[in-house]
Amino acid sequence: MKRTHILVCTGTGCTSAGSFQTRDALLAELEKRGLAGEVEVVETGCMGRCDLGPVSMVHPDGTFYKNVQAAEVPKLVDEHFLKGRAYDKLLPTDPETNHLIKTQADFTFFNRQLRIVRDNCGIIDPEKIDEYIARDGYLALGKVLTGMTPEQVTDEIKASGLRGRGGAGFPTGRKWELMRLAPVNPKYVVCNADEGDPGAFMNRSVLEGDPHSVIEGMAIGAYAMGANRGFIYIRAEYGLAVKRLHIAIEQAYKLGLLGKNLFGTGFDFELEVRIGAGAFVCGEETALMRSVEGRRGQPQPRPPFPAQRGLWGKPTNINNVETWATIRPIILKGAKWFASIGTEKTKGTKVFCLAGKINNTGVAELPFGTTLREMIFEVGGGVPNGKKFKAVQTGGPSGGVIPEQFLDTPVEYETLQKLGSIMGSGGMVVVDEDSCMVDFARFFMEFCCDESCGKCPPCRVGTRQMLNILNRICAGQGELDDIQKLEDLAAMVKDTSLCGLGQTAPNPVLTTLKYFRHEYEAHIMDKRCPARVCRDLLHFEIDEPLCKGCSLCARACPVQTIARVGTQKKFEIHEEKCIHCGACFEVCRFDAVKKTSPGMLVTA
Amino acid sequence: MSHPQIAPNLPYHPSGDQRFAQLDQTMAYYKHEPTALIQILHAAQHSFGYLAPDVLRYIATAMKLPLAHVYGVTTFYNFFSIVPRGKYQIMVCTGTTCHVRGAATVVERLGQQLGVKEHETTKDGLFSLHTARCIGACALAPAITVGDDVYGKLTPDKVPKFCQKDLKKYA
Ligand SMILES: Cc1cc2nc3c(=O)[nH]c(=O)nc-3n(C[C@H](O)[C@H](O)[C@H](O)COP(=O)(O)O)c2cc1C
Ligand code: SF4
Ligand code: SF4
Ligand code: FES
Ligand code: FES
Repeated sequence: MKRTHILVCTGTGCTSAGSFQTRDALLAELEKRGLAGEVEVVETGCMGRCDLGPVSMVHPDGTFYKNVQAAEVPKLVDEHFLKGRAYDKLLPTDPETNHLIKTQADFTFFNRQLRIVRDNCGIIDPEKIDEYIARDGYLALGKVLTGMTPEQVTDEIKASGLRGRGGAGFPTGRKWELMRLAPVNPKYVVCNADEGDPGAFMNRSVLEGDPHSVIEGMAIGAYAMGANRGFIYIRAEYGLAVKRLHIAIEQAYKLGLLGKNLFGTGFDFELEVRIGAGAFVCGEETALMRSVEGRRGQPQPRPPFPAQRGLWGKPTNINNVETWATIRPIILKGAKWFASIGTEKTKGTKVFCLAGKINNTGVAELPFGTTLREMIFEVGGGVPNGKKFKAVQTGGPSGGVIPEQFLDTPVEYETLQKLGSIMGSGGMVVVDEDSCMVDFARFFMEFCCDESCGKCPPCRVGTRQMLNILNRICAGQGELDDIQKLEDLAAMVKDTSLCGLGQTAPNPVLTTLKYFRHEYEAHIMDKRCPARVCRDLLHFEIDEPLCKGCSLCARACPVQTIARVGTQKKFEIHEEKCIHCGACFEVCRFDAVKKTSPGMLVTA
Repeated sequence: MSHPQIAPNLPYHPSGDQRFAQLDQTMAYYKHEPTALIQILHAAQHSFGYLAPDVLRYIATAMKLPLAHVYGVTTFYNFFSIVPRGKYQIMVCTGTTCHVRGAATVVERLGQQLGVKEHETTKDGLFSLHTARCIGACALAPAITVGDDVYGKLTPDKVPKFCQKDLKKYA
């Protein structure tokens, strides 16, 4: 056993930043310096700070390095492993104090977390089952198969208070019990790895970083519910996760941890991967089952629930990736322990994704009951570039925006719902003063309109009508009664759509109307976009005294509408051809290009 | 996804196109189970680049499924294309995080640089431009993919350099 390990993240984020090259450089450099026998290079899944990638951590001292490009490796090896001191250049800085952060334990982003589900992520090599087993992997499955009855397992999950992490928060134990008692055979279990919410990548991080935890959870569930066949339905966009799942399943089969007669108990469990094909609605459980069956993924009315009539008409239990991955720790450490974490109504932890205008972007696992402020300003390190926080969007296209005055809300299913939003998959997208809330609502409406499966008219037509109105408002052609029309349509779509997609599609519009109505009014009445986002309402101008005549803007302008003022050195924008793309505004280094939304006098 | 090896003595498509033989193998691997249709379409798109009418007809016949069903499933899912695309598809994520960080402008500027609009293919057939809904690299927003490669933090101002440098690698 080597005494020191250097863990290199090979999740999607870090590999896109070049972490495979980093790994190769490390192997070569350690060899060259004669350290290959002492320091082991371990490839891990996502460590949770993809924005700093490629990231790396040294064990056992816990030093955390960012931006470890291959070119930096010789210096890093020299400083850290030969001279025995941290290589300062690659240490992250605290956004608040500007101090260098030496170890993961000193990093607020990490030390505020409580890792139950992501316990192994970023620690073990997800492509090696031995490393999983070394950390008590498949111990829970063994314990269940050899020492517990299906009823005891279900009771344990019920007692833990675990609620589904896929969005609705339905008690998992109750769902399992219904399944267990269903008198029909065969039964199926399904893992929902469709993760369609934009801004959410927690399931991906678990599948890439610790695929066996999901497999083990499914095997335990299958035993508890009397199923012998399972499917993992995963979106096609997650290439690396698909690959690691295939490897993990193959390894588990080889060791007899999947397949026939597990642990010699006579229990069989076959597991297959099914790849989705890019339809958001397929995350909805009845649509998902149709897709697994190879059909168009259109939702079906419930009841009958999947536990009554699921895949091929047989009882089926669908849980989210994170729900499945939480089973193992509950079995190992007990329901009581799990129930001691979180809040009265919601037990345990949730993996959140912090993204958007936030300093510490990434994946963070926190107990339920953590407030939005703690998440965004402590773990997330606040809003970058001195900008002002405007709102946080939770729950994806089915969720809503939450403004500043509610930042002290403890996060759990019910509290977010009370604010008009939802928990959803746990995506948190932070927006600052530069985001326009009308544009934001328009964005989500466009998403839902595109992704509506078209089965029911209120969703198909209603979202289209709402989108048309929002487009009009953003283009400066909003009319006074548009807000009322939006509210009426929202109520209709919510009440009469068949599935969750339609029923929640109006949420972003309703919450922005509730908390940011003045922005709608500015667009409609003054033809002004206060955040300076909606293009048709913008005006670009060069402030002559500030212009240095460098010509950068003229070269950046895609429609060549910036030219010298007569024979002078300075430049000006010829308004008629300007398409308001903002290229000049971005390139000017002297702040000479002014972007404004002056508004127009409306003659009513 | 793993594709079974092509066996030399299998009956194959009259055109002599070996990719049909490969498709036969994939269908056999799934025992021609209708429920595996989506997996088979994935494999077909992988080798043909897109799902042309004759490929869909071939699959329908081999799997004993109505062509209308195969066609209906294909067009339901965004991932499948029934028209030819570039050798490399450029997918610009237009998910929430990428949106608030300027994805719409990224699409526009890529289009300007490549001389194409969304869904169109460059004259040399190398790239086609598309948008996608969240590729799960939100921490790197704005994110795009070119073929299987992910590129992060591609803010609108970096697009020209990206086209002149990174995209050249695919030529
Ligand atoms: C439009 C729509 C999309 C959904 N997308 C997902 C998803 O991507 N992942 C997921 O786990 N659940 C998703 N759900 C929720 C599922 O229908 C289902 O409730 C969940 O998978 C159950 O698992 P759980 O009990 O473990 O939460 C979606 C629901 C709707 C209505
Ligand atoms: S609500 Fe929308 S997505 Fe859901 S079934 Fe109806 S049309 Fe399809
Ligand atoms: S980029 Fe700025 S300084 Fe340079 S010519 Fe344009 S406005 Fe003047
Ligand atoms: S992929 Fe490396 S930290 Fe997320
Ligand atoms: S929103 Fe673009 S990668 Fe998720």
